Amino acid sequence: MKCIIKITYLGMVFGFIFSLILGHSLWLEMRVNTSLALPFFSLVGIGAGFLRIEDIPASLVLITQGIMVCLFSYIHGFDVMAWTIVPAALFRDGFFLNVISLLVINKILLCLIVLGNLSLVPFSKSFKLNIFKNG
Amino acid sequence: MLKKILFIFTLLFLFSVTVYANVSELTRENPISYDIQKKSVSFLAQVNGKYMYQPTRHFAIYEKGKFGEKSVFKGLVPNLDFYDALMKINAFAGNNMTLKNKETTHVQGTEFAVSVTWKGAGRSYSIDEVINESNNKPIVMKFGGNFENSKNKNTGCLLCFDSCPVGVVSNSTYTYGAIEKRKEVTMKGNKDILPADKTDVVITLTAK
Repeated sequence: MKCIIKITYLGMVFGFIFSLILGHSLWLEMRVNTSLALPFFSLVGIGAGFLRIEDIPASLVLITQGIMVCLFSYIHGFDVMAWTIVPAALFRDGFFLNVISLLVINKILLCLIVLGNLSLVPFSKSFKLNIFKNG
Repeated sequence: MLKKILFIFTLLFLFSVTVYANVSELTRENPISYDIQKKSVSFLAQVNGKYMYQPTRHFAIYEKGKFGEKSVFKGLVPNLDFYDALMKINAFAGNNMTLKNKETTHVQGTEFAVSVTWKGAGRSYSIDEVINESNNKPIVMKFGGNFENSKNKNTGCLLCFDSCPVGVVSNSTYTYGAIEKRKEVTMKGNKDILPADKTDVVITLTAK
Protein backbone atom coordinates (compact mmCIF):
# COMPACT_ATOMS: atom_id res chain seq x y z
CA MET A 1 0.00 0.00 0.00
CA LYS A 2 2.85 2.36 0.92
CA CYS A 3 4.38 1.75 -2.50
CA ILE A 4 1.11 2.72 -4.24
CA ILE A 5 0.85 5.92 -2.18
CA LYS A 6 4.49 6.75 -2.90
CA ILE A 7 4.17 6.30 -6.68
CA THR A 8 0.83 8.16 -6.77
CA TYR A 9 2.40 11.02 -4.82
CA LEU A 10 5.34 11.08 -7.24
CA GLY A 11 2.82 11.26 -10.10
CA MET A 12 1.07 14.17 -8.41
CA VAL A 13 4.35 16.05 -7.94
CA PHE A 14 5.21 15.45 -11.62
CA GLY A 15 1.73 16.73 -12.48
CA PHE A 16 2.38 19.95 -10.53
CA ILE A 17 5.72 20.43 -12.30
CA PHE A 18 4.15 19.99 -15.75
CA SER A 19 1.18 22.22 -14.85
CA LEU A 20 3.58 24.97 -13.77
CA ILE A 21 5.69 24.64 -16.93
CA LEU A 22 2.70 24.51 -19.29
CA GLY A 23 0.91 27.32 -17.46
CA HIS A 24 4.00 29.50 -17.85
CA SER A 25 3.13 29.79 -21.55
CA LEU A 26 0.39 32.42 -21.59
CA TRP A 27 -0.75 31.41 -25.08
CA LEU A 28 -1.31 27.82 -23.93
CA GLU A 29 -2.69 28.79 -20.53
CA MET A 30 -5.38 30.92 -22.21
CA ARG A 31 -6.50 28.09 -24.49
CA VAL A 32 -6.35 24.82 -22.58
CA ASN A 33 -6.67 23.63 -19.02
CA THR A 34 -2.95 23.20 -18.33
CA SER A 35 -3.80 21.88 -14.85
CA LEU A 36 -5.05 18.66 -16.46
CA ALA A 37 -1.43 17.46 -16.24
CA LEU A 38 -2.11 17.03 -12.53
CA PRO A 39 -4.87 14.36 -12.69
CA PHE A 40 -3.15 12.79 -15.70
CA PHE A 41 0.15 12.14 -13.90
CA SER A 42 -1.66 11.21 -10.68
CA LEU A 43 -3.63 8.55 -12.58
CA VAL A 44 -0.44 7.31 -14.24
CA GLY A 45 1.03 7.04 -10.72
CA ILE A 46 -2.00 5.13 -9.41
CA GLY A 47 -1.84 2.81 -12.45
CA ALA A 48 1.88 2.20 -11.99
CA GLY A 49 1.31 1.57 -8.27
CA PHE A 50 -1.38 -1.03 -8.87
CA LEU A 51 0.61 -2.72 -11.65
CA ARG A 52 3.27 -3.33 -9.02
CA ILE A 53 6.04 -1.75 -11.00
CA GLU A 54 9.27 -1.92 -9.00
CA ASP A 55 9.40 0.17 -5.85
CA ILE A 56 10.87 3.61 -6.41
CA PRO A 57 13.62 5.06 -4.23
CA ALA A 58 12.47 7.70 -1.77
CA SER A 59 15.30 9.94 -2.94
CA LEU A 60 13.61 10.20 -6.37
CA VAL A 61 10.42 11.52 -4.74
CA LEU A 62 12.39 13.95 -2.58
CA ILE A 63 14.41 15.26 -5.52
CA THR A 64 11.27 15.67 -7.65
CA GLN A 65 9.60 17.47 -4.75
CA GLY A 66 12.66 19.75 -4.49
CA ILE A 67 12.50 20.52 -8.22
CA MET A 68 8.83 21.42 -7.83
CA VAL A 69 9.57 23.82 -4.95
CA CYS A 70 12.48 25.44 -6.86
CA LEU A 71 10.35 25.83 -9.99
CA PHE A 72 7.50 27.37 -8.05
CA SER A 73 9.90 29.77 -6.28
CA TYR A 74 11.37 30.75 -9.67
CA ILE A 75 7.95 31.52 -11.16
CA HIS A 76 6.14 33.03 -8.17
CA GLY A 77 8.92 34.05 -5.77
CA PHE A 78 8.47 33.77 -2.03
CA ASP A 79 5.11 35.52 -1.79
CA VAL A 80 3.24 33.53 0.90
CA MET A 81 -0.13 34.32 -0.66
CA ALA A 82 1.01 32.94 -4.02
CA TRP A 83 2.05 29.72 -2.26
CA THR A 84 -1.38 29.38 -0.69
CA ILE A 85 -3.38 30.27 -3.80
CA VAL A 86 -1.65 29.03 -6.98
CA PRO A 87 -1.11 25.32 -6.07
CA ALA A 88 -4.67 25.11 -4.74
CA ALA A 89 -6.00 26.82 -7.88
CA LEU A 90 -4.06 24.38 -10.10
CA PHE A 91 -5.47 21.45 -8.11
CA ARG A 92 -9.00 22.90 -8.29
CA ASP A 93 -8.83 23.48 -12.06
CA GLY A 94 -7.20 20.12 -12.75
CA PHE A 95 -9.70 18.05 -10.80
CA PHE A 96 -12.70 20.29 -11.66
CA LEU A 97 -13.42 21.07 -8.02
CA ASN A 98 -14.82 24.53 -8.72
CA VAL A 99 -17.43 24.36 -5.97
CA ILE A 100 -14.79 23.91 -3.27
CA SER A 101 -13.03 26.91 -1.76
CA LEU A 102 -9.24 27.25 -1.93
CA LEU A 103 -9.10 27.00 1.86
CA VAL A 104 -10.58 23.48 1.80
CA ILE A 105 -8.37 22.51 -1.16
CA ASN A 106 -5.31 23.69 0.76
CA LYS A 107 -6.29 21.38 3.63
CA ILE A 108 -6.68 18.47 1.19
CA LEU A 109 -3.29 19.32 -0.36
CA LEU A 110 -1.66 19.47 3.06
CA CYS A 111 -3.03 16.01 3.89
CA LEU A 112 -1.76 14.63 0.56
CA ILE A 113 1.71 16.12 1.10
CA VAL A 114 1.91 14.70 4.63
CA LEU A 115 0.64 11.30 3.43
CA GLY A 116 3.07 11.31 0.47
CA ASN A 117 6.03 12.14 2.69
CA LEU A 118 5.00 9.62 5.34
CA SER A 119 5.11 6.96 2.64
CA LEU A 120 8.84 7.72 2.35
CA VAL A 121 9.52 6.72 5.96
CA PRO A 122 11.23 3.40 5.01
CA PHE A 123 13.88 5.72 3.58
CA SER A 124 15.54 5.75 6.99
CA LYS A 125 15.52 1.93 7.06
CA SER A 126 17.24 1.58 3.67
CA PHE A 127 19.60 4.37 4.69
CA LYS A 128 20.64 2.25 7.69
CA LEU A 129 21.08 -0.79 5.47
CA ASN A 130 23.29 1.24 3.11
CA ILE A 131 25.42 2.34 6.04
CA PHE A 132 25.81 -1.28 7.11
CA LYS A 133 26.66 -2.34 3.56
CA ASN A 134 29.22 0.44 3.19
CA GLY A 135 30.57 -0.19 6.63
CA MET B 1 -18.35 68.89 17.89
CA LEU B 2 -20.58 65.89 18.73
CA LYS B 3 -23.04 66.95 16.05
CA LYS B 4 -20.24 67.06 13.48
CA ILE B 5 -19.04 63.58 14.44
CA LEU B 6 -22.61 62.25 14.29
CA PHE B 7 -23.08 63.87 10.89
CA ILE B 8 -19.87 62.28 9.54
CA PHE B 9 -20.87 58.86 10.91
CA THR B 10 -24.32 59.18 9.34
CA LEU B 11 -22.76 60.04 5.99
CA LEU B 12 -20.36 57.08 6.25
CA PHE B 13 -23.22 54.77 7.21
CA LEU B 14 -25.40 55.92 4.30
CA PHE B 15 -22.47 55.53 1.89
CA SER B 16 -21.69 51.99 3.05
CA VAL B 17 -25.39 51.07 2.86
CA THR B 18 -25.50 52.38 -0.74
CA VAL B 19 -22.40 50.39 -1.74
CA TYR B 20 -23.73 47.25 -0.04
CA ALA B 21 -27.15 47.69 -1.67
CA ASN B 22 -25.47 47.64 -5.10
CA VAL B 23 -23.78 44.34 -4.24
CA SER B 24 -26.82 42.66 -2.71
CA GLU B 25 -29.31 43.68 -5.43
CA LEU B 26 -27.84 41.21 -7.88
CA THR B 27 -28.19 37.47 -7.33
CA ARG B 28 -27.31 34.27 -9.19
CA GLU B 29 -30.92 34.17 -10.45
CA ASN B 30 -30.82 37.84 -11.45
CA PRO B 31 -27.13 38.55 -12.18
CA ILE B 32 -27.48 41.66 -14.36
CA SER B 33 -29.22 45.02 -14.18
CA TYR B 34 -29.18 48.14 -16.31
CA ASP B 35 -30.14 51.78 -15.91
CA ILE B 36 -31.07 53.62 -19.10
CA GLN B 37 -30.94 57.05 -17.40
CA LYS B 38 -27.43 56.54 -16.04
CA LYS B 39 -26.41 54.57 -19.15
CA SER B 40 -24.95 51.88 -16.94
CA VAL B 41 -24.96 48.08 -16.74
CA SER B 42 -24.00 46.10 -13.62
CA PHE B 43 -23.43 42.39 -13.36
CA LEU B 44 -22.44 39.87 -10.73
CA ALA B 45 -19.08 38.10 -10.90
CA GLN B 46 -16.67 36.17 -8.70
CA VAL B 47 -12.98 36.77 -8.05
CA ASN B 48 -10.63 34.17 -9.52
CA GLY B 49 -7.65 34.26 -7.15
CA LYS B 50 -5.35 32.49 -9.61
CA TYR B 51 -5.06 35.53 -11.87
CA MET B 52 -3.77 37.79 -9.13
CA TYR B 53 -0.56 35.78 -9.48
CA GLN B 54 -0.61 34.68 -13.13
CA PRO B 55 -1.09 36.94 -16.14
CA THR B 56 -4.23 36.71 -18.27
CA ARG B 57 -5.80 38.53 -21.23
CA HIS B 58 -9.34 38.41 -19.86
CA PHE B 59 -11.00 40.74 -17.37
CA ALA B 60 -14.32 38.85 -17.17
CA ILE B 61 -15.71 35.73 -18.84
CA TYR B 62 -19.07 34.01 -18.36
CA GLU B 63 -18.40 31.09 -16.01
CA LYS B 64 -20.04 28.56 -18.34
CA GLY B 65 -18.27 29.81 -21.47
CA LYS B 66 -15.42 27.81 -23.06
CA PHE B 67 -12.83 30.01 -21.33
CA GLY B 68 -14.81 30.51 -18.12
CA GLU B 69 -11.82 29.79 -15.87
CA LYS B 70 -9.37 32.11 -17.65
CA SER B 71 -10.28 35.55 -16.33
CA VAL B 72 -9.71 37.70 -13.25
CA PHE B 73 -13.51 37.67 -12.72
CA LYS B 74 -15.86 34.80 -13.50
CA GLY B 75 -18.99 36.50 -14.78
CA LEU B 76 -22.30 34.99 -13.70
CA VAL B 77 -24.09 36.52 -16.67
CA PRO B 78 -24.12 34.92 -20.16
CA ASN B 79 -22.25 36.92 -22.83
CA LEU B 80 -25.33 37.43 -25.01
CA ASP B 81 -27.40 38.73 -22.07
CA PHE B 82 -24.57 41.15 -21.37
CA TYR B 83 -24.64 42.27 -25.02
CA ASP B 84 -28.42 42.76 -24.86
CA ALA B 85 -28.15 44.86 -21.69
CA LEU B 86 -25.59 47.15 -23.35
CA MET B 87 -27.87 47.54 -26.37
CA LYS B 88 -30.77 48.43 -24.04
CA ILE B 89 -28.87 51.41 -22.63
CA ASN B 90 -28.37 52.52 -26.25
CA ALA B 91 -24.64 51.91 -26.30
CA PHE B 92 -23.10 51.94 -29.76
CA ALA B 93 -21.40 48.71 -30.89
CA GLY B 94 -18.25 49.38 -32.95
CA ASN B 95 -18.34 46.04 -34.81
CA ASN B 96 -15.07 46.96 -36.54
CA MET B 97 -13.07 43.94 -35.38
CA THR B 98 -12.77 40.86 -37.58
CA LEU B 99 -10.70 37.69 -37.30
CA LYS B 100 -8.57 39.05 -40.20
CA ASN B 101 -7.91 42.63 -39.06
CA LYS B 102 -7.67 41.91 -35.31
CA GLU B 103 -3.90 42.41 -34.99
CA THR B 104 -3.89 45.83 -36.66
CA THR B 105 -7.19 47.32 -35.50
CA HIS B 106 -8.19 49.06 -32.27
CA VAL B 107 -11.72 48.28 -31.09
CA GLN B 108 -14.31 51.04 -31.51
CA GLY B 109 -17.72 51.69 -29.94
CA THR B 110 -19.10 53.38 -26.83
CA GLU B 111 -16.41 53.87 -24.20
CA PHE B 112 -17.17 52.77 -20.65
CA ALA B 113 -15.91 53.65 -17.21
CA VAL B 114 -15.58 50.25 -15.54
CA SER B 115 -15.73 49.90 -11.77
CA VAL B 116 -15.79 47.02 -9.30
CA THR B 117 -17.21 46.82 -5.78
CA TRP B 118 -18.00 44.12 -3.24
CA LYS B 119 -19.46 43.71 0.25
CA GLY B 120 -17.13 45.49 2.63
CA ALA B 121 -15.19 47.30 -0.10
CA GLY B 122 -16.35 50.67 1.18
CA ARG B 123 -16.28 52.18 -2.29
CA SER B 124 -16.12 51.31 -5.99
CA TYR B 125 -12.68 50.73 -7.48
CA SER B 126 -11.90 51.67 -11.06
CA ILE B 127 -10.59 49.05 -13.48
CA ASP B 128 -7.17 50.75 -13.40
CA GLU B 129 -7.06 50.22 -9.64
CA VAL B 130 -8.07 46.55 -9.59
CA ILE B 131 -5.82 45.53 -12.49
CA ASN B 132 -2.03 45.70 -12.52
CA GLU B 133 -1.13 46.81 -16.04
CA SER B 134 2.62 46.42 -16.54
CA ASN B 135 2.91 49.57 -18.74
CA ASN B 136 0.70 51.64 -16.41
CA LYS B 137 -1.40 52.77 -19.38
CA PRO B 138 -5.12 53.40 -18.77
CA ILE B 139 -7.45 50.55 -19.73
CA VAL B 140 -9.97 51.94 -22.22
CA MET B 141 -12.94 49.58 -22.50
CA LYS B 142 -15.11 49.96 -25.61
CA PHE B 143 -18.25 48.18 -26.79
CA GLY B 144 -16.92 46.11 -29.69
CA GLY B 145 -20.24 44.23 -30.10
CA ASN B 146 -19.17 41.09 -32.03
CA PHE B 147 -22.57 39.47 -31.49
CA GLU B 148 -22.13 36.75 -34.13
CA ASN B 149 -18.60 35.74 -33.10
CA SER B 150 -19.58 35.82 -29.44
CA LYS B 151 -22.55 33.56 -30.16
CA ASN B 152 -20.76 31.13 -32.50
CA LYS B 153 -17.46 30.76 -30.64
CA ASN B 154 -19.13 30.52 -27.21
CA THR B 155 -15.97 31.52 -25.36
CA GLY B 156 -18.10 33.47 -22.86
CA CYS B 157 -15.85 36.55 -23.19
CA LEU B 158 -17.39 39.63 -21.59
CA LEU B 159 -14.45 42.05 -21.25
CA CYS B 160 -10.98 41.44 -22.75
CA PHE B 161 -7.68 43.23 -22.09
CA ASP B 162 -6.84 43.80 -25.78
CA SER B 163 -9.00 44.67 -28.81
CA CYS B 164 -10.93 41.49 -29.50
CA PRO B 165 -13.08 40.21 -32.38
CA VAL B 166 -15.01 37.92 -30.01
CA GLY B 167 -15.30 39.70 -26.65
CA VAL B 168 -18.36 41.94 -26.23
CA VAL B 169 -16.29 44.74 -24.65
CA SER B 170 -12.51 45.10 -24.97
CA ASN B 171 -9.56 47.36 -24.28
CA SER B 172 -8.84 49.68 -27.21
CA THR B 173 -5.39 50.61 -25.87
CA TYR B 174 -3.89 47.47 -27.42
CA THR B 175 -4.57 45.50 -30.58
CA TYR B 176 -5.14 41.75 -30.45
CA GLY B 177 -1.95 39.79 -29.78
CA ALA B 178 -0.35 42.47 -27.60
CA ILE B 179 -0.61 40.23 -24.53
CA GLU B 180 -0.23 36.66 -25.77
CA LYS B 181 1.86 36.98 -28.89
CA ARG B 182 3.90 40.20 -28.88
CA LYS B 183 4.26 40.40 -25.07
CA GLU B 184 3.83 44.19 -25.10
CA VAL B 185 2.06 44.13 -21.73
CA THR B 186 0.96 41.83 -18.90
CA MET B 187 -2.26 42.10 -16.87
CA LYS B 188 -3.04 40.63 -13.45
CA GLY B 189 -5.61 41.27 -10.75
CA ASN B 190 -4.32 43.62 -8.06
CA LYS B 191 -3.84 41.38 -5.00
CA ASP B 192 -3.41 44.40 -2.74
CA ILE B 193 -6.94 45.59 -3.46
CA LEU B 194 -9.10 42.68 -4.60
CA PRO B 195 -10.89 40.47 -2.05
CA ALA B 196 -10.31 36.73 -1.63
CA ASP B 197 -10.94 34.09 -4.26
CA LYS B 198 -14.64 33.35 -4.92
CA THR B 199 -15.83 36.65 -3.38
CA ASP B 200 -18.90 38.02 -5.17
CA VAL B 201 -18.29 41.38 -6.83
CA VAL B 202 -20.42 43.75 -8.86
CA ILE B 203 -18.86 45.07 -12.06
CA THR B 204 -20.43 48.25 -13.42
CA LEU B 205 -19.97 49.75 -16.88
CA THR B 206 -21.07 53.36 -17.32
CA ALA B 207 -21.07 54.92 -20.78
CA LYS B 208 -18.80 57.98 -21.03
